[in-house]
Amino acid sequence: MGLWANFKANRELAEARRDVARARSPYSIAQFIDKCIELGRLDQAFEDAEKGIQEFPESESLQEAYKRMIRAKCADDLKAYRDEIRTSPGPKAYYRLACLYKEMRDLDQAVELARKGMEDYPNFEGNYIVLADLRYERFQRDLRASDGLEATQLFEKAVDLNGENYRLLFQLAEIYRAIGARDHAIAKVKMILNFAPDDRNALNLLAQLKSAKAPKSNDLKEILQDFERRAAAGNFRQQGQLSARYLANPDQLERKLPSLDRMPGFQRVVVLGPHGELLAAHPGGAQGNRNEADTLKKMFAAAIDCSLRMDISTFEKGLFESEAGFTYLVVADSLQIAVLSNTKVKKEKLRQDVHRFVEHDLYI
Amino acid sequence: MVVTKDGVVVAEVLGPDLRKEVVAAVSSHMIQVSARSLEDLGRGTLERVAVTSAHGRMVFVNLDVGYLVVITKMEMKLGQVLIEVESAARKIKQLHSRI
Repeated sequence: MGLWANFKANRELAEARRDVARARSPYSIAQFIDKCIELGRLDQAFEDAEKGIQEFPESESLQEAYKRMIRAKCADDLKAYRDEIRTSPGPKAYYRLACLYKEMRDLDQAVELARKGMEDYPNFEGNYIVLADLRYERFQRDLRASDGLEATQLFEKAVDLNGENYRLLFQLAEIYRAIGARDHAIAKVKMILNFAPDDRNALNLLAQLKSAKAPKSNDLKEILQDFERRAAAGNFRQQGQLSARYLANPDQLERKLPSLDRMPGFQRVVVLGPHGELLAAHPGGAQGNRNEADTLKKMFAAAIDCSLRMDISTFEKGLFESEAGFTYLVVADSLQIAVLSNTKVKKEKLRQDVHRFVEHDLYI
Repeated sequence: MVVTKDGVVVAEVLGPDLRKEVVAAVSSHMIQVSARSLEDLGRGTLERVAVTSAHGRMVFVNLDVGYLVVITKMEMKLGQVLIEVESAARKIKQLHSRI
């Protein structure tokens, strides 16, 4: 990059950074990251993406910007690993490419490659670990027993293939401990102590596990089902930034809703809390929208349940088209937001406006 | 999958990870709740639903005689999915009108 081009890029970046400082939200940070990518400042993009995701872990804009950034950053590796699979395929080639796709959050590709690697080279543990990690990530988000069971089975398979993989054993012991499978966790820690008898972390974990309460059953399926029941009762879900803010102060939320009036075709917005409780609505306020809120709560419940049972994980958004217009349901950081519009608005415009409202207006 | 509002499967081609009975039952529940809710909200007949979840997408299209249900992975873009699904729905409707 020449001197003048460099100067110009710096100026553009400084301007973009000032925009973020003026109104810091996931949306504005994501725009800054995109600007960095456009200007080829990938290290800067990486730094801000990491910080942004830490600050707003539930944000869709930031997740998407992170994906774009990591894709730009890993483009050369991606090409090299793909070539490796074409020219000299082997278990590690599949593993490396699957890991890269996982990092790029292209999870379908990661699963496909790890599965292929697992089928073609069943005695290499790496591809089992990739699949197990992905399933475990999903378990952490959806808290479904079936995901937990599949993840632990895959991890166990990897342990069968290599019983001296310290990181794997420790991770599996931590997972068992988190779900309340104390004895399973103890067994894994003892495996570590077989080949690393003085390992302080393992000894500490063992002491903690021995002092913990024993579960009612030792059957992993039962333990996970019990965990799922407790999760459904809301015992483990952490409140995100948005829900924490607006559950404590729904009036503040109600004051933000009229900004949607400028959206073409806008008719109504209703916001529910994580358990479907009515927080705010516009026009008419919460009191004037009780009936609509009850109906929308049922729609959210059906969509959330349907997504989980179809095995496509947590519901994020759904556009319902009917004669009178669009009913757009979005779940953001446990808040359930329903926006109703007539058919005058284009669907893409509706999506964009609601996205901006959720990822920007609600955060500032 | 083509399924009636009551969950009767008319035709299906499903990937190995999906079970026919589950998809039919869950789709039927989703369609019934959505259709009833939209009517309660005064928004008329349900025509189409496009759902995006963390690991995939679902589209339901009203075929008048039932619903076309499509479940895809995340790697397919929503616009691309909708074009394909609408085209399939049109063909099914034409086929039905000829019977």
